[in-house]
Amino acid sequence: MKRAFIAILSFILLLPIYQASEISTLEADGDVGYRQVELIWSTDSPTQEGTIFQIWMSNETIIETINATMHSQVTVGNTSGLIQPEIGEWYDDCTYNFGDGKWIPVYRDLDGTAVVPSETIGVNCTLTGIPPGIEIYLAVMVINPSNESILSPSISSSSTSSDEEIIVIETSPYIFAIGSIALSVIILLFILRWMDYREGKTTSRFAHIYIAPAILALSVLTFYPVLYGIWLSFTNADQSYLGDQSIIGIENFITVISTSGFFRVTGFTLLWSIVNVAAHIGFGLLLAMALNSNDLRGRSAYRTALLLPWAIPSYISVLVWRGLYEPAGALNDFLGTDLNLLADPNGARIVVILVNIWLGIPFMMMSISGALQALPKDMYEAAEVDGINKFSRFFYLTLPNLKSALVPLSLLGFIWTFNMFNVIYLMTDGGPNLDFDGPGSTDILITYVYDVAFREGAYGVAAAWSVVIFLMLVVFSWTYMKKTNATEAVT
Amino acid sequence: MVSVSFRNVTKQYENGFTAVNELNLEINDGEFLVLLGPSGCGKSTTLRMLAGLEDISKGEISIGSAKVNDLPPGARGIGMVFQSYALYPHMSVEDNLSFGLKMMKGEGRKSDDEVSILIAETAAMLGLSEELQKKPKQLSGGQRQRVALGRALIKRPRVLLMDEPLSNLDAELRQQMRVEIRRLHDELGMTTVYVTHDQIEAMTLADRIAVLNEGELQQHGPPMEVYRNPTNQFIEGFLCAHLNEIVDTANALFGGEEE
Amino acid sequence: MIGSEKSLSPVFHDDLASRWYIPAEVESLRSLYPIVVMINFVSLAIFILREDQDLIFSSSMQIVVSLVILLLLYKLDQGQRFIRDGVIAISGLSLLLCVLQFLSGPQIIIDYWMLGWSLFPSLFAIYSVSKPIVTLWASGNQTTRSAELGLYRNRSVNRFHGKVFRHVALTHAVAFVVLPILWILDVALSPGNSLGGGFFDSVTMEHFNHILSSESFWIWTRNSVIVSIGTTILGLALAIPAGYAFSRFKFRGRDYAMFSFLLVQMFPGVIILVPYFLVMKALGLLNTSVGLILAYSVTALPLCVWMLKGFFDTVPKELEEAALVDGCNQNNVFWRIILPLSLPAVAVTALFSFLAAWNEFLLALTFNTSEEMYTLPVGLASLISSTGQAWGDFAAASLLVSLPVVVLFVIFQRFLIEGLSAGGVKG
Repeated sequence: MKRAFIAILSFILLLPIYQASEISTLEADGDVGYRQVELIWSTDSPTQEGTIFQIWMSNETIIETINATMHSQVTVGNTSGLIQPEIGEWYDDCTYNFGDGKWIPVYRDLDGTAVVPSETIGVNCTLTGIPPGIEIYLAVMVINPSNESILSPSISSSSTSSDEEIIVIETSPYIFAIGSIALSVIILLFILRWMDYREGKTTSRFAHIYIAPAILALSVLTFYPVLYGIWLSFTNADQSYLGDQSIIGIENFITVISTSGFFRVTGFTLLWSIVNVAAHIGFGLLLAMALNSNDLRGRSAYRTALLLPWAIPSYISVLVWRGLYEPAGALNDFLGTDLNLLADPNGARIVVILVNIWLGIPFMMMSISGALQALPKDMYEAAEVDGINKFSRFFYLTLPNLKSALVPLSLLGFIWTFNMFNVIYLMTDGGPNLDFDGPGSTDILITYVYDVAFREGAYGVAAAWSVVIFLMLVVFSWTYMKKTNATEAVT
Repeated sequence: MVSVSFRNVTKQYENGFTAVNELNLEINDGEFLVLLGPSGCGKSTTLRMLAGLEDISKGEISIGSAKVNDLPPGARGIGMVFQSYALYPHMSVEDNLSFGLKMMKGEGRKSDDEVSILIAETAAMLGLSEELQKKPKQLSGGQRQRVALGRALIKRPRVLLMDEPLSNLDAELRQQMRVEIRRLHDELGMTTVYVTHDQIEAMTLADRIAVLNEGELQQHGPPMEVYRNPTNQFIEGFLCAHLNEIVDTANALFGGEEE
Repeated sequence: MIGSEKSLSPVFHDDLASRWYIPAEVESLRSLYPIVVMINFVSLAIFILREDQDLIFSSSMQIVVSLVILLLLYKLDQGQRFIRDGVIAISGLSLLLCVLQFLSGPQIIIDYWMLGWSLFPSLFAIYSVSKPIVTLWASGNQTTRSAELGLYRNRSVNRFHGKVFRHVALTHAVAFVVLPILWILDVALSPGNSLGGGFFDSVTMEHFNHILSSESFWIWTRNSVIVSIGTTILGLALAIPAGYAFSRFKFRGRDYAMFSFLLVQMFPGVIILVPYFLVMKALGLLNTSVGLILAYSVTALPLCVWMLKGFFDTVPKELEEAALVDGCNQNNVFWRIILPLSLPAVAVTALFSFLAAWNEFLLALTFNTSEEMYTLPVGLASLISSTGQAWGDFAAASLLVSLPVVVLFVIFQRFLIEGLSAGGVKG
C-alpha cells in the first residue's frame, strides 16, 4: 500500500517533466498586410526547455509534413545573452506570453531563429513571404524534449494580394472644399483687379491674371491642407473611421501633452536643432574664412569638394553614413574600434547629430562666404592702423557685422533642422526604442508624428502634434527675432 | 614731432609694374607735406607704404630715427584718414573714436578715465560732441569725415596720414574742411602727409608739396616756389598751366575784383 | 585749446623694431599648439574607445606635455633664454612619448594621422626654436638692426606658414567630407554585401550589372523622371508669370501675395503631411505621379518665384517700354521679348526644380507606397530596409543616381547662390 502510494505520488510529481505539450489553440489572420499572415497558438501546458515549434504551410490540409513546407521555427530555450529586437525590426515579428495576455517580443539567436523562455504558453508570429491571394493551410508542430512530435490540426488562411488599404473615403467633401477655396480666390483676385481698374492703374491690367495660377495652386495645395490639418486636430480621425470622424474638442491635444516621452522628444528635438545649427554656423564660418583668401591655390577645387554634402541627395548620404556606422562598417575599420553606436541610445543620438552636421555645413559655408565678401574691406585697414590685432579684428569687426546675416541664417537653419525628417528616419527610425508607446530615443518631433500618423494611423492625434510643433516654431521664431532685433534695418 | 624720410623707396609688383621708383624725400618735423599728382602716379601707394599697408620692395622708410620698413601699422605711431572714411559701421561715433585706444596693451595703455577725457576733447575739437552716440549711417558725409579724422587724432599720433580725404565731399564742405584740417595741424603740430590730385588743395594746404608722376618724384618745395620755378614740363602742364587757367577764368568772370 | 600734446602722446622709442619683433616661428607655434592639444584630446578619445590602457595613459601624458609647451611658448620673450631651452627639452620629451606610443607600430591610417600630429609639431618646435634667429632673440641680444632684418624675414615666413596652415585645415575638412564617398565607391565595387574589409581589395562590377539589369531600378527611374519633369514644367508654368508680375507690376494685393509666398516657405513640409496625405487619398491621387507632381510644384513654387523675380528685376525696363511704344501690347511683350531673354534664368530655375523633385524623399515615401510607383529615393532606401541588406547594389545605385546630380549641381551652384542671396540673406 505504502509503495503504491509513493509510486503514484512520484508519478504525479514527475508528471510535469514527462508531460508533453500540445497545441491547444491555433488562429490565423490574413488581413495583416501584404503577403503576411498572423499565426497565434498556445499550448495546453507551460513549455519546457528544448521544445521546438515548427510552422508548416501547404496548399492542402496538412496531415503529414511530407507534403508541406516548413516556414520557420521557434525554440524554447535559454534566452540570456540573446538580442530581443523590437516589433517591426525583424521581418517575422514574433511575440510570446506566459498565458497572462501580455505579449513580449521574442529573442533571436545568432542564426535569427526565434527563442522563447521556458514556461511560454502562447506564441504570436506574423509570418511574411506567404504567397498572396490564395488559400493556404498552416499548422504548428510541437517537438517535445523527448523528441515526441505532435502536429496540430491545420488551419486555413489567405494573405491579402495587395497592400492598399481597404478603406474607402468619400471624395465629395474634399472636392467641395477645394472648389470653394479655388472659387473664393478667383473672386478675390477679380475684385482686386476691378478695384485697380476703377482707379485707372492700367499697368496692372493683367497682373492679377498672371499671378492667379500660382496663387490658386498655393491656396488649394498649401493653405487648404493647413486649414484642413487644423480642423483634423480637433477630430478623432483614425485609420479605422476616416470620413466618420467627429469633433472631439481638444482631446487630441491633451493626448499629445500627456504622451509619455513628450518632454523627452521635445527636449531632444531642441538639443538636436541647437547643436546642429551651432555646429553648422561655427564650422561654416571657419571654412568660409579659410576659403576667403584670394591667393589660395586650388581654391575652387577645395570649395567644390566641400560642397559635396550639399550636392549629393541627402537620403543617399544618410544611408551611406548608416552603413559606415554599422558594426561591420568602415567606422570601426577606420578607427580600429569595435563600436555599435547605433544600438545604444546615447551613441545613436551622437551619431545622428554628427551626420546632420556633415550634411548642413556646406550651405552655411556658402551663405556666410557671400556675407563675408560683402563686408567693407577698408575698415580692416583702418583697424590695422589703429593697432588692432588679427584675432580682435575678427571678433570685434567681422562677427558683429556678420550678425545681420547670421541671424536670419541661424533662424532658417533652426527651422530646417527642427523638421529634418530624412536623417533620423533613415539612420535609426527613431530607435533604439526605449518604450513602445511613445517616441524612441532618437525620435525628433516630426519622425514621431510620422509614426503616429502612418504606423498607428491616428490621423487626428498626428494633426494635433503637427499643430503643436508649428506653434512651438512660431513662438521660437518670434522670440528669437525679438531678441536679436532682426527686424532692425541694416544699411 | 618727428621727421619722416624715404630713401630709395621702390614698389614693384609681381607682374613687373613699378608703382613707385626710387623715391627720395625728407619730410621735416611738424611739416605739412602734400603729395600731389594725377591718378596712378603712385602717391597713394607711397602713403600706404609709409602706413605699413603695402610692403616695400626696396629702400627704407624711417619715422624719426627708427626704420619702420616691416613694422606693423599699429606700431608706427601714425594716424590715417581714408578716402572712404572706413568707419566701423556697427559702432557708435564714440566707439569708433576710442576703439583703438581701448585695445592698446602694454605701456601705452590708458585708463578708462583718460580714455573718456580724450574722447571728450577730440569730439569737442571736431564738433562731434552731440553725435557721440550715433552710428555712422546716421551722419552726414562731412560728419563722417570728421569722425575719421577724430579717430586718427585721438591717439595723438606722431605722423598724420591723409589719403584724399576731401574727395567725397561737395565743394562747399571741402572748402570748410580744408580750413579745419590746416587749423588742426597748426594747433597740434604733428607731421602731416596729405595725398591729393587737386592742385588747389595742394597749394592752399601745404608747407611743401611733392609732385609725383608715374612713380617718379618730379619736384618738391614750398608751393609758390614750385609754381614759379617748375623744373620740368610735366609740372608746368599739370600745376602751373592748370592754375593759370583757373586764375584767368576767375579774372574773366569777375573782371579784376577777385580775391 | 590743446597745446603741445607731447605729454598725452604715446611713448615712442627709436628701437621700435626690437620692441615689436617676434620671430614668425614663435608666432606660428603659438597658433599651432592649441590645435595640437585639441587633436591630442581626439586621440585620447579614440584610445578610450579602443580600451587600450597603455595608449590611454601615454596619450594623457601627451596632452599634459603639449599644454606645458603651449604655456612656455606664451611666456617666451626676449631675454628668456631658459624658457626657450625649456621648450626644446619638453618637446624632446614629447617626441619620446611619441616614439613609445607607437613602438608597436601604427597599424591603420588613423594611427599614422595621430602619430603625425604628435611628431611633426614637436620636431617643428625643436627645429624652429633652436634656429640662430630665434636664439638671438631669446637670449636678449637682439639689436635694432637685426630686429629690422627679422621683421623683413617675418613677412615671407608668415606668408608661408599661413599658406601651409590653410591647406592643412582645408585638407582635413575635405577628408572628412570625402570619406563616405570613397567608402561607398569601395562597397559598390566590392563583391558581396560586406561593409568592411580593406579598401579596394577586389574589384568587381557585379553590383552595377545587377542594378542596371534589375527591372525595379528602371521602374523607379522612370517614375522619378516623370515626376521630376512634370514638377519642373508645372512649377515653371506657375512661377514665370507670377515672378514677372511681382517684378513689373504694382497692383493691389501685391505685398500680401508676396508675403504669402514667403510664409509658405516657412511651413515645414511635415506639418501638412497628414492632411496632404488624406487629401491625396480622397482624390485618388495616392500612388500616382500626378499627386507627387502637384505636391512638389507647390513646394518648389516660392523658391522659383523668388529666383525668377530676382532675374526679371535685372532686365531693364527700357526694353519693354520700347516694345510698347512700338505697338506691342503687354502680353506680347511678355511672350516675345521677355521670355526668350530669360531663358538662362529659366533654365537654372528649371534645373533646381528638377533636382528638388528628384531628391525628395518624405512625400514620395508617404504617397507612393506600392512598389511600382516608388521613386528612386524610396526605391534605393528599400534596398537596405530591415528585410534585405543589399549594400552592394545600393552602393552601385547610389553612385549612378548621385553622379549626374552632383555634376549638375556643381556646374550651376554659382547661379543658385546668386539667386538665393539676391533677396534672401539680407532679409
